[in-house]
Amino acid sequence: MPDLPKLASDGNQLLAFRNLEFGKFAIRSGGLRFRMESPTSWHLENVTMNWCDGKLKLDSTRINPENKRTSLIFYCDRLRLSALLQQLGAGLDQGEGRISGAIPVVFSDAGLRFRDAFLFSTPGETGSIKLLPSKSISATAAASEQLSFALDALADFDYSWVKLSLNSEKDLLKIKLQTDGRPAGKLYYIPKDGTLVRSEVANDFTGLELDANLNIPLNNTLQLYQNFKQLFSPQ
Amino acid sequence: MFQSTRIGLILALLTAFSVSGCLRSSHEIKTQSEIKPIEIKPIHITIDINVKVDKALDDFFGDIDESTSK
Repeated sequence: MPDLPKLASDGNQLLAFRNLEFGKFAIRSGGLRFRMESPTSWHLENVTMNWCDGKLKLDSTRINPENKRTSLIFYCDRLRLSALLQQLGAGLDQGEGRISGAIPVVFSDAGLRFRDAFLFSTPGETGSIKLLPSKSISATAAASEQLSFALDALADFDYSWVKLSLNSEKDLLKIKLQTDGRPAGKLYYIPKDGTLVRSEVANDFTGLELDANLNIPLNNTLQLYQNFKQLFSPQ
Repeated sequence: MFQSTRIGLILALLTAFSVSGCLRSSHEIKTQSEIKPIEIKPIHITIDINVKVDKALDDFFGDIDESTSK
């Protein structure tokens, strides 16, 4: 029995949980099926979690806890956009509208990096966004009427489609939000000389196609990785 | 003769005042129509937002730090 000292498990081992909450993030339930090939090689057969009234899945993959670089691809299946925005601390959990797509991520000592993640709304299904921007974004918006308009429009926005992409580039996390729809209410803005300016009366915007590019410093995502690493490392 | 001329002058002044009143009221109506809400055709805008370090994210991870240090 040459392999007797080596530890290994059978396949299809189940690790399940009912509720996992940290900060604003809440995963309602989930299950992980795995096989320990050796203490340094774990085969994750599949992972499914109930998140934002949809599913977050991870396909079969092999991980080594001693590796300094791990690549994973998470699949989001019909997550409710408003619930996702609320958990990210950027919106209110109101209204329907779901998004799906893949989020490839790389965990390393350089932090958590996104590799061309792309989420999109369900074709033929409309929804709504009720964005609640952070104080720092609101303060930035005060200096720009165009940005103020975009935030006011997204505070209550009915969309026909939405696309969301995430990509890490150098020391920035780049998030691109593209949507087409119309503000639910009238807005105190008017187009003038190719830009938007504030108006004394509220006007009805019949259509708005919006591309919003957000650049977030990498030190936030580095902190994200370090905290997760701390959370799962043996004490 | 002199009295009828004076009456005519007063009537002319009254007419002038009433006409100027009409002109003023018509000007007010025009101003009101300028600030009436309008329907704006579909537009396309692109915005860039550079986010600085978010305090809320620090607070969020502070909870995890506390739980792991225990």
